[in-house]
Amino acid sequence: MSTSELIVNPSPRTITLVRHGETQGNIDDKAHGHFDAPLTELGRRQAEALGKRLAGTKFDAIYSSDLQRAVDTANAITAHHPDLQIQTRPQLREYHFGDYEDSLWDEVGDAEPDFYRRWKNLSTRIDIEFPGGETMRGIWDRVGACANEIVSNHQDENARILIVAHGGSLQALFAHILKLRNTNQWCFMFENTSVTELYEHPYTPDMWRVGLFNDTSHLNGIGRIDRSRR
Amino acid sequence: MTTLYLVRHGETDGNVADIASGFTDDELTEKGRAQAELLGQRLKNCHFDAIYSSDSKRTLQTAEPFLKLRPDYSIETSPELRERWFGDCEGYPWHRLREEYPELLDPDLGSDVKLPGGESDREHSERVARFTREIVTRHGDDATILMFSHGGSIKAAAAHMCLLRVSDKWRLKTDNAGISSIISEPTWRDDGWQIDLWNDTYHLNGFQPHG
Repeated sequence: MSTSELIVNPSPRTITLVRHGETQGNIDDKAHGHFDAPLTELGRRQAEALGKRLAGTKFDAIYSSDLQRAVDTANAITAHHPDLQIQTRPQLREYHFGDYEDSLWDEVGDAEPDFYRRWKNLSTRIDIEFPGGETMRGIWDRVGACANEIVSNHQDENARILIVAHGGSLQALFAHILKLRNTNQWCFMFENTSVTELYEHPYTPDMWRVGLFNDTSHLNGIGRIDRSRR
Repeated sequence: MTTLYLVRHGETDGNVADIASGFTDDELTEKGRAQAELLGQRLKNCHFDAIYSSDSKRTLQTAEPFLKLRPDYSIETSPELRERWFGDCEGYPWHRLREEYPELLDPDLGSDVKLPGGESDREHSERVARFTREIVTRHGDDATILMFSHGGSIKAAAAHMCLLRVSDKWRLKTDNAGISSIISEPTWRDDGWQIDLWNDTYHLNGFQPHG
């Protein structure tokens, strides 16, 4: 038998990433980062559908941002996994938008057009500093440290980890685990209660691959390609 | 908004045996044909402005059930979308390739490793990227395009359009008959496209077609 066959890991480590359900800030397009908004009624129903979808999957651990929209989404999952204790991590929180927290993004654009342009332009976004809030590089570091902690906590070769967080923090987490450049983190957009799965490469430990990204088939019984019907 | 759907072919004998098949013209297995049928059911009610495919048998056979259900659609084939040409190593089991060319797996150098008589990963990626850019330009700022292709080619197209490094394509996993999509708005096209969905195989397990 060849050496490569000997090191094949038949059941690689898996990380499932989930974004929280809908909030009013998502609908209104507000800068809600550390702002602790609850789920909307639809957000709760999305979380329930997600919980049912993941009911048959066995997880070794579940981590969540400590903000209520994430914790309430995580609770809808653990409702089907009574033995799992949610481990909250403030490092998984959304960006701290500082002075812009709870503002409409349109208002930010009107008041600070230069800042807004640098924020919307992906080639300059990494240098953004939110007045009174976080810097984009600081966010990258704090989420990355949390990613390292979580991955190293679960060395069992078939460990299954579930992480519930936010649109922005998931982009940083995802790009960290996949070892993408920090400027590439924004090319993956996570929708509310979407499911993303990362698998450790069978031949290369610590090399992770995305096997499913942004799947929301639990929300309408059909995957999202079906939306392209006219 | 422009959406480009990227669909990988169904299972082939080469996939089952874990063999490097690039230009080698494998056919679908029975399972691969069943996957193609389910894929056709999944796609049959979708609107597409244009449909492209690699000219390899396995991608054309994957598209066949869909085209039977939608005789109003036609498909443009191109050799540019083919899988990487492995040259003298066509037909090698992957474990043998990994043993004889361990540098293929090197995250920094692997992209430029040329197999004897074949393409490097970068050459293959650039070939697919050129063609992908050409077709999205052809269809303007508001189009839905479907492409039947191969694992390596789909990863190359997505990585290129999203401004990832060539070697980052190996962070993306594609299963047989899986559906992925990338999107772009004209306003942020220069910033790179975004991955909207990756490797959705919902239609292969318990999919109930409707409508």
